[in-house]
Parts: sequence; C-alpha cells; structure tokens
Amino acid sequence: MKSVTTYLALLFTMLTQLSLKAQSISGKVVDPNAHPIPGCNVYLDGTFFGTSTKADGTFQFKAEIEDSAIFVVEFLGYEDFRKTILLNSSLEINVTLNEAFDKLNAVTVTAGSYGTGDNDKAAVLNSLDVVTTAGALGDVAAALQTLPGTSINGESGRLFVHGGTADETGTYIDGILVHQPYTSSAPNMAVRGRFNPFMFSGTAFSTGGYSAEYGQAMSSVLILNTKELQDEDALNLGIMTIGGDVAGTKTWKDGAITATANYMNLTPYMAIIPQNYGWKQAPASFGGGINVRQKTSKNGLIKLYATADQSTLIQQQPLIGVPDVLQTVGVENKNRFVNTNWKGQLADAWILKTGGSFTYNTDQYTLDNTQLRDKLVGGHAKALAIHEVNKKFHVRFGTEYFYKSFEKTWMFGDVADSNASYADHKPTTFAEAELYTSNQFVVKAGLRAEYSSYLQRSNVAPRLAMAYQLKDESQWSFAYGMFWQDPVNQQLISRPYLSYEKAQHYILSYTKTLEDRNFRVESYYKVYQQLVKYPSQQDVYTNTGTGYAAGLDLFFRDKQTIKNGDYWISYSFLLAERDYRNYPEAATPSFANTHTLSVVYKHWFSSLRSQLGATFTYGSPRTHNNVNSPNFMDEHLPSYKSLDLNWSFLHRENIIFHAAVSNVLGFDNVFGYNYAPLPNQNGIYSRTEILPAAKHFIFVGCFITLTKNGAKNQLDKIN
Amino acid sequence: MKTIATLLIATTLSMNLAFANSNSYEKAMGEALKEMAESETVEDLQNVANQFQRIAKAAKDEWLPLYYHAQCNVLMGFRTSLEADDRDKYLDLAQNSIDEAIEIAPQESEIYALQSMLHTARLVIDPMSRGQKMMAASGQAIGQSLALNPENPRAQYLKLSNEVGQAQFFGKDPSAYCDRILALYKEWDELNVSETFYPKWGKAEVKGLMQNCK
Repeated sequence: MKSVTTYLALLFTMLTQLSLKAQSISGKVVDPNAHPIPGCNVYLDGTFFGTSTKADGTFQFKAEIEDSAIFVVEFLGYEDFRKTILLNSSLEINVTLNEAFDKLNAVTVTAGSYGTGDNDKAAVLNSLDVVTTAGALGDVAAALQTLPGTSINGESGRLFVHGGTADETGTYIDGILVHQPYTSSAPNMAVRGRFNPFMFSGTAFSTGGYSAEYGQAMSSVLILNTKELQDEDALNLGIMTIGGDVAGTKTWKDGAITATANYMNLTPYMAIIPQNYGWKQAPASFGGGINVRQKTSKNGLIKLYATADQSTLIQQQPLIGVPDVLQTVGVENKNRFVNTNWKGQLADAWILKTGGSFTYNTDQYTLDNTQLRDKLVGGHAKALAIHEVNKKFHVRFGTEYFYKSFEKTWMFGDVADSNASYADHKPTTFAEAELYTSNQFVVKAGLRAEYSSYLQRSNVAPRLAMAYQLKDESQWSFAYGMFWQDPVNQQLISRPYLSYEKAQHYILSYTKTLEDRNFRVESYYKVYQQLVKYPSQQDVYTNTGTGYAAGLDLFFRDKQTIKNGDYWISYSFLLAERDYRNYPEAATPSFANTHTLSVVYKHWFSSLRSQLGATFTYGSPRTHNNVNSPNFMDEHLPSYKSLDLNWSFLHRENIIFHAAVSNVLGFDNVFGYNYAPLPNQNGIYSRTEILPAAKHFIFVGCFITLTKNGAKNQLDKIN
Repeated sequence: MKTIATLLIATTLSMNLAFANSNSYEKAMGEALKEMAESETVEDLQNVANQFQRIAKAAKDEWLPLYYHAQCNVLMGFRTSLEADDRDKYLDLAQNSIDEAIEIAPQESEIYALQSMLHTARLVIDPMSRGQKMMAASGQAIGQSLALNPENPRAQYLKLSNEVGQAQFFGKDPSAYCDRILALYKEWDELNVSETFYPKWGKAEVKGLMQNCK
C-alpha cells in the first residue's frame, strides 16, 4: 500500500514538475546591420516547441524544458544560430544572424568568362540562345560571335578572340580536348562547328585569363558540357532544305543510349539559290554517332560519345587573271571521334573526373591534278581530382597526357609524291586552389606544367584570378595568366628545333546586374612572345616574333524592358599588332577588326506561338596587304555588315518549324583578295575578290520529336 | 517492492512521455494544417512552412511534415510577387524536403505528384528557357505518381491541368477534357484516402479547371 502511495505521490510531483517547467521564451532576431529578420524559424531542437519571428523580428513561445534544451534560429541565407539554454537561465534571447556562405550565390570570377548555361548564375546566354540567335543557324561558334571580344572573319567561321588567330582557341567537351572541332571546307569558305548544340547543357566561353586546367590555347577556350541523363525514349526528326537528320533515344533505369544519323546535300539548294562560285560537287556530308549515358552510383556517371563523319565538296574557280580557265578545288574529309568520361564521388569531399578522347581526321585537298592529304591522329587522357577542404577552400589538381601526330602527303594523281610528318607526346600536370574569404571575395591561383617530346622542352604557366562583389549587385574581377601553345602543325613538320609560342593576359572586368539586365565592361592587355617567324630564308623558322592586343569589350543584355522581348548589344574595340610569320614589320593582322558591333533581338509572339529573331553585325574594315603596293598591310577591305533574320514556329508541342535568311539587306561583303602568282604584262598582279559562297543563305527546316506517351497520336497528326 | 515501484514509475513516466510526444505530433500537425488552410500571404506560408519544418525535425520518421513543408515552399515558388531568385530558393528548399520524404516513403504516390508541381513552378519562373526541360520533368513525375497509385486524384488533376494548359497554348479546344474533369470532380471524395493528415487538397483546383466546361 505504501508503495502505491509513494508511486502516486511521485507521479503527482513529477507531473507537477513537468507542467511547472512550461516557460516563456522571447527575444528578437536581427541581421548584422541590426535590421529585423521576419519569418525565422525559432525552436527548441527535437521538440515541437517553437514559432516564427514577426515582421519586427521579435518572437515569443512557451516551452516545457526539462533541464536544458538547444535553442535554434534558422533562416534561409543565414547561418543557423544554436545555443544551449538552461532551465534557470534568462529566457530573453536576442540573436544576430550572420550571412551564410553559399557557393552557388557567392561571387564568381567573370573576367574573361562568358558562361552560358541554364543553371549558371553568371550565364550571359543560355543553351537555347545558341539555337535561336539569328545568323547562328544552330552553330555554337557562330552564336558566340555575337559576344564581345570576338572578331568577324566571314571566310573562316571559327572563333578569333582578343586579337588572336582561330588556332589559339581550344575546344573541350566535358573537359576533354577536341582536336578537330570544325568541319572541313575549301580555302576561304566558312566552316561550322561539328557538334549539335542540343547535345550541350551549358557552355563556358572564355576570352582569356582562364583556369590552369586548360592549356595549349593562347587566346581562348570554349568548354562545352554535355547533357546528363535523357528523360524518356524519343525519336527526333529534322527535315531541312539542305538535308535531314534523325536521332533516337532509348532509356532504361539509370541509363540511356542515343543514336544519330545525318545526311546533307546542297545540290538541290544550290540549283535554286544563285551562288558566287561554280560547283562540280556541292557540299555533301553524311555521318552518324552514338551517345551512351550510364549512372554508376548516386553521384557517378559515365558518358561515351562517338561519331563518324564524311564530307565532300568540289568547287570550280576561274584562274586568277585568266577568267576562261576553270580551276578545280576540292576537299574530302573523314573524321572519327570518340569522347568518354566518368565522374564520381570518391569520398565525402572528393570528386574524381577522368576522361579521354581520340580523333582520326583526314583532309584530302585537290587542286586540279595535284592532291594533298593531311592526316591527324590525336589523343587526350585526363584525370582531375576536386577536393573541398572546407566550404570556402577548394583545391583541384590533375594530370593529362596529350598525343598528336600529323602527316602531310603530296600526291600526283594517285601516286604519293613525298610526305612529311611529326608526332608529339605531351605529359602535363596542373593544380589550382580557390579561396573564398566571404560571399564577396574570391581568389584563385593555379599552376600548369607541360613537357613536349617533340620540342623537347617544358613550360610552366602561372594563373591568377580574383573577384570582389559590391553591395549593389556589381562586381570587379581581375585575371592574369601565362599561356603556352605549340606552333601550328604546318610549321612544326620537320622543325623540332622550334619552341612554344607564348601569351600573357591581363584582364579587368566590371559587371552589374539589375534584375533581368546585365551590363559588363572589360578591358584587357595581351602580350605575345616567341611567335614563329619566317625570316628571309623560307626554311629557317625562328621564335622571334612578337605582338600585342589591347582592347575594351562592352556587353549589355536586357530581358526586362520590352515585354516578350530580349536583346543584347556587344561592342568590341581592339588594337592589335604583330610582327610574325612572313611580316616584314609589325602590322595589324588582317583578322583583327578595330570595331565590332553585334545587336541581337528576339521577340516571342505568344498568339502566333512564334519567335522572331534579328541580328545585326558590323565589323570595321580589316587590313589587307596589296602585293602591288610598296607598303605592307596598308590597304583596308570594305567593312562587314549583315542583317540576319530567323523565325521559329511551334506548331505543336513536338513540331517546330524554323526558317532563317542571312544578310537580308544584301550588303556586298568582301573577305579578301586572291592574287595571281605572277604579274601580268603591265607588271601588276591581278586579283580576285574572296566572296561569301552566296549573298544570302536561306534555310527552312521542320523538327519533330516523337515520344512514347503520344507517339501514335502525333504520328497521325503529322499528315 | 521498491524496485517494482520504481519500475512502475519508470514505465508510466515513459509511456506518459511517449504519449505526450505522439500526442504533440498529432496536435502540432493539426494546428499547422489548420493554419495552412487559412494562410494567404507569403508571410503566412513562411510561418506554416517553419511549423512543418519543426515537426519534421522532431518526428524524423514521418514523411507528411516534409511533404507539407515542401508544399508550402512550392506555393511560395508560384508567387509572382516575389523575385525569381527567391522563388528558386524556396523551390530548392522544397526539393530538399521532397528528397527526404522519398527516402522515408519511397512508394508514396503523393510525393511524386508534388514533385511534378515543383517542376511546373520552376517552368513558370522562366518559361522561355526552362519550358521544354521542365515540361518533360513535370510529366515524368506525374507518370511516377500514377504508376504508384493510378487513382491518386491529385496526380490525375495535375495531369489534366498540364494537358488543358498545353491545349490552350496550342490553340486547341480545352473542352475536350471536360468529361474527364467532371468525372474526377464527382469521384473526388471517394478517391481520397481518409487517413488523418493525408493530403486532401485539390477539389477547388479541379473546380477551377471546370470553368472551361459549360
């Protein structure tokens, strides 16, 4: 009996005690500037006791505390506040929350970097922009030419950045080198990128000062990141005025395979649209590829991409000075490309990325009866480790191996006449550290070292970048870097005594973002040293060439002012001089426009389900060396102007019509002159203009996506 | 005797505490759901989201507090009065809760229906660049939801809502879906699970879809 009484008494006491412990906790939450933070979650850890702060930052709630409890305050964007409170301690708690460090929202180095992606905050163009920019015709390189820092070289189609040649731009897919990023074309005819822009989820286009992870590019790198897993089975069809393509995707749990095939032939098109040149065989190509994705673990993904392509074209050009005699100029290209990579998490704060690529490319050029064959075999293997030491300090380091062999064969008819070649192995290593002192300041420092077996030389390249963010959504960034690159293939053959060419960049950039408006101004200075020069004797090359480039880039994009409208304006000012190759003296090279302007506008008409795009491009006159003039490079070509239009119409959710016309106003653009090898009877070298293939390019296409969900219905609807 | 008494006390107390705890869960959920039903402003939703977050942290085995925490944040993600960046941050929070909820209840159809809504909220923020990707993701999540429970009325509603939206965009007659919308509205109460705290929302939304049907 006694025990029962004790039990009851005890129970009573304890229950009383429990209810006695109900206490009121109150206080106020402010940020470091003493502004109240409403909506904070205030509670005792592991209990249901808690509340939210009011508009003035104050809170009050009742809680039953045993002996002690952990008091927590949480709010998005701030560091959690935790404090152990005791039963008898003061329960009036005033809290100051500190801003949390968040890498995703922290400052990023924008000097020289134009991110394009769907998730990237620093993105200036998203992946769809590449496809919808008028004049680009779905070519990544062409779309990027509407950004500042690029020069317009209509006869090339490749990326010329900050007074550098196109060979100074390196292209990478998922961090792995692409040896042959462009299609092949006849001399002075524009090439295109080999890759379908829809393959990529994001692009990082750097106009200089880039990370130690990338080398062998003196001016610029273009980093293309492919999409991850496909969502569903699909069949994509493209029917175009110049050909057709088809892509089929089959998915399974954690994996997918896509097979593609394409065939292009401009013969029917060129029969209708007047051309500036005669064609024996209009450009024609066919190719195919496969693309495999497989998840290997929660954070692991393996990607494989392989393509085989083939293209031919044969032009007929009148012999310079002898208009009646036609000369046959042709090129036949074969390209095999494999790119594979694996990304996985090794341990908690360790990510490993490995990958490799292989390229086999042949170009067979025909000039009447003479043939010239270029064969390139390239390989790249890479392993990169990324370690997050803590939230604010990251290191990345890796090792790479590049292989390249290049062979030139001269043929007469079918008989090999002579050949020359070289091969190079290049082991490389790099390391980079990134330190954030706060959301506002970041500094990155890196070092890269390479050794070339062919040149028998090594190089070391330091890189440095930093960025500081101001309160008003604006920021300053600075980048410095040293960049080494092998001389181009043609120069390297039989000349192992040559050395690397070298460039150094200094870039200062200011950006300001106001909601959907983005402004950027960037100035740079770039010094070239050790450029290959051909002094008087053609065969003895030296590394004594020099050069510089300095300029100012302006970029403004506004998605806000015009409803359903979106435009950007890019302007580049460039001063560049070089004394290299066969230049007798320092001169502005012919690929460098002093002023370049691009204005891109897109408008979405929702009632018509159509997007109209217009791009205006202006390139100031480029220099040109008239061989009949006693002075070097003292003539200028006419300025370049073009207004391009495109129109996309979403017929159904899975059918898009697309039409594009280039140079609608019919500007006469001249890309240069070809001179006769010998002077005529008056002692003058006669010349012909290098023109675009045609004044306008007209494109019409229909793109269809069929998925399992409604494939049958939509198939019926097509007709 | 003493030992027995101590034991008795201990058991009673622990039972008591356990009861108090589960009782608190019921109470806290009841209160939070009531407030959710009454919430109008972003501040209201933020406060309710905080409540659900507190419950989720105290009752770690329950998926429902996570579900409602995510739902409050998805609703904030739809608020056009907020800036796009902030809306995306709310949706990030919602995604975290959905991921945690799926770990607790991987076979729960309702969570995937909410996931579909989240993808749609992402789409609405920037339809031009996200349209294609998020439309597919939203459709896929509905598919997962319906695969787990073909009768889930909210998944059915979201599917119809997407289809009607697309039909309107492409200038087709949305009244073609009216039979299915009406049928869903009629069956709504039967289709809903009677379990306490289980998601029940959606009837008013279906009624909203019926506006095109007359």
